Amino acid sequence: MLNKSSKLNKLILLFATVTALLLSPINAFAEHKDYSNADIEKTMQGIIDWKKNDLDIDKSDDIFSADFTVTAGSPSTDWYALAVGRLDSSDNNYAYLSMLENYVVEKYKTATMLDDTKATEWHRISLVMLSLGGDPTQVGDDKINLISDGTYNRELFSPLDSQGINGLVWALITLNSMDYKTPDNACTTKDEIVDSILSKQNRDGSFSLIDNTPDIDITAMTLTALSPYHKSDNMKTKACINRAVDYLSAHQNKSGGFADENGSEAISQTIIALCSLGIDPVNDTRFIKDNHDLLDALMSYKTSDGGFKHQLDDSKSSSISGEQALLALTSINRFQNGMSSLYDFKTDTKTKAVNHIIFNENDVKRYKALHEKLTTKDYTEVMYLYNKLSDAENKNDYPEILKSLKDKKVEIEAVRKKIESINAKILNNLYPFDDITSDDADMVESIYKDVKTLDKYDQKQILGYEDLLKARTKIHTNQRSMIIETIAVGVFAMLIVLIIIRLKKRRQAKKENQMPADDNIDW
Amino acid sequence: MKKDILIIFSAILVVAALIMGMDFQSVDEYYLTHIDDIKPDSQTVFLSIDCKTILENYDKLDDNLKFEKYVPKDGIILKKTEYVLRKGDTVFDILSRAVRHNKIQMEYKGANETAYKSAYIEGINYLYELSCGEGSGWSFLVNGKMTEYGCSQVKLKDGDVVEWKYTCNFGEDLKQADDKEMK
Repeated sequence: MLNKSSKLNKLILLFATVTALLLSPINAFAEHKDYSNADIEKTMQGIIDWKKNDLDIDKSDDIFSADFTVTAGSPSTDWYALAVGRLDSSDNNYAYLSMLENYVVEKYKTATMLDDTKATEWHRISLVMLSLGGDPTQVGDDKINLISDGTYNRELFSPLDSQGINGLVWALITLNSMDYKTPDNACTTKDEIVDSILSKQNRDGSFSLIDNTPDIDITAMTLTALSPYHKSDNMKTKACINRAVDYLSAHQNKSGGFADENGSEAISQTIIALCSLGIDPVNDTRFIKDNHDLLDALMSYKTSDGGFKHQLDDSKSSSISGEQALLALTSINRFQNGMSSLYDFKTDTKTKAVNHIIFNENDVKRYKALHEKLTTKDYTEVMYLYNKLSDAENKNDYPEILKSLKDKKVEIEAVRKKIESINAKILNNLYPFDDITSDDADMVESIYKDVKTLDKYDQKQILGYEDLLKARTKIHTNQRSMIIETIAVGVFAMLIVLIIIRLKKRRQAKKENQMPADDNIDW
Repeated sequence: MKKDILIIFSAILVVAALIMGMDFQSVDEYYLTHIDDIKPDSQTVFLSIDCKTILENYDKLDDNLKFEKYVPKDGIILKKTEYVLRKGDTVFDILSRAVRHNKIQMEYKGANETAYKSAYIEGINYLYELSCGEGSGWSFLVNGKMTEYGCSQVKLKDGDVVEWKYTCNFGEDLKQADDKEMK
């Protein structure tokens, strides 16, 4: 329907644009020829609903419900959370933020912190925190500084570019998101990162993930990272940006997108890059081919369930394609409303949101709804309530609840530890399975007893539970066989004894029979 | 007299048979403890794990991993081994069973932690993604082919050959190796 009326739409649009330009200088950005702002907003809501459905979250529930926040810190939900924060489409940013902070604190207790090699873990989490109103420079009681550890001082742990250009690009995006300053004693300065990125540009203007193979996705992300410098006086940087923009424009095809093998994500990343550079992604003539633009192309990857797919002939929506489309549409939406670009948090942080935390009646209700006996399933809920109440302005109103929540938190953490320890015991002691003998009976039985003390839900978290049962059955079989063997041997021995006695008796009987005969003869 | 000897003999036979040949198990117990035994009518798949590509990129390998216990001389971590295929088994199921039974270290992210809704193998035998250069990590091939899907989404059928291979170049080096083998 949208396509059929596109000519008419265009006329109206042209008229509207001209009028708008004449009448109101504020509304400077033209809408898309086919998709209105409302259409874009509807599509974004569709993606969020798709993700909810994918995680079995009720459509009417807030996206930041337990099934979503439980994976805070993993890329599967982090990018969605970033978009949701940018769109202000949740009333409960705190739910995700507190779980994310908790994730960071827990991860920092391990030797590799967030990750052994991937600096981008720090970057993604920092950006999500900013989007939700958190502060990545002081996380948790120990005031962990994700910006320092993940960008300018990353080299203390591992090279910033262990993942290739990705690590540099996202470090730069993160540093510029709040215009973080690098201290004098920093391992890496912002300029060094920029230079390092510029040096990796291919002759054709593109950037690569692998060797020197041009990559649309990476070229677009690199442009996003370099976008704050497009107005700078540095001619070298400017030239680099222009060549990369030209590369993307040259590889756009008739449908407005890129060769299908690049996936819909390449289109999304290009939209984000152009918005960051201040280039109108749907009206700039460099990015309109055969009357088709990037948004037309992106929309062709939309599936009937509201999600987005990776390639045109894919039958199913992909979570990654959806998340990137959502970020791209968020970018367009912000661009058309004259807001700062997607990863630019300088002007509109919402740190206030975090500063006003009230433990409300609904939270009290949720606390009361907790079961007496808790399982690891309740971890998210307890963590959420505990974090919220300990940060709340009115925390002194509920000292008992706070204490009880703390106890519950400790209790569940103990269960989690126990599950881990049982898993380790099974892994270390049960294999190879063929070597299990009756000598292992005590070990197997003690693990089994440990498992049985757990709640049903927690028992399912035991890896190799089947193998434990198997080992136990094997040992029981062995023991039973041994008992039966012993009995059999006993019976056998008795039989032999019986037979020997019988034989002896018979021989004696024979002798006795013969004796009288002999006597008779003697007589 | 002869009858007695016969009885003794058969008693010995019975007892010997009991001792030698029989575990006393119910049907359920038998099924549980013999589920992974290969019988003539079992459906099976083959699995191998190797990191041969590291041998050609040894200079890129993390120094802490430059030991034979991590990277065997021939690059083979698990030689082609036959495993019983259970109903609904995926590439991930077979791998996790095999590494458990062979005491090979493995670390993965569960399906709910990844956007692919599939488990993701981070490391096998202490070799992790990015352990050997920018484009390194674990990949798998089923019957010699790579797939777009995650390992816990690919269901296996009788006779399938699963190869877990470490790549040092986003899988490109595995494709080349395939071509060579085909030639």
